[in-house]
Amino acid sequence: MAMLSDKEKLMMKLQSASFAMKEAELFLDTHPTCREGIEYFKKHKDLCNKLKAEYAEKYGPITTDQQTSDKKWSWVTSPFPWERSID
Amino acid sequence: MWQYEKKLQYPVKIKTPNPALARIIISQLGGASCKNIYSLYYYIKQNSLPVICVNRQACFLFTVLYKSDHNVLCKYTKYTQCVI
Repeated sequence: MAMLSDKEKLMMKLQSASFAMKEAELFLDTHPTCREGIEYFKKHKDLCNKLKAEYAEKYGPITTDQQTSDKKWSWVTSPFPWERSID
Repeated sequence: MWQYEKKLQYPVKIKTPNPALARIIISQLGGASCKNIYSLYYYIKQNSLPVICVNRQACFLFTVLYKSDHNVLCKYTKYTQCVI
């Protein structure tokens, strides 16, 4: 396996945290009173938010409300996931 | 209703891109009676609120109209966070 860059490593952590959060969401839809499930969800949600902020600060916005630059709309100018520059 | 996140669910690395194959796969997503579009419908349903039902007819209509148009379907998936 090729060496992953820091950007890819951070993205992988973010992807795994948000996947865990999505799975917890689906579980809690059918088990709304499970306390452990809610704790699991909260833990991964906090991790996800932290990682999203970190990634957006370093490499560009993940959602439109993370836009920080005043000069240009980096949401559109930074690459989308299907564009080759991500590879 | 929709919030787009500029990230994939899993890391994807395409070694040998094959646009002809991609075109065939996407054209089959509609299927003869649009059955395969259910996969897209369920994916959208999973990622939105549980009480909101995605309009299946909108999915079918879109697929029937743009079944062979790779570019347009990719634009649609841009707003639904799908990767095809």
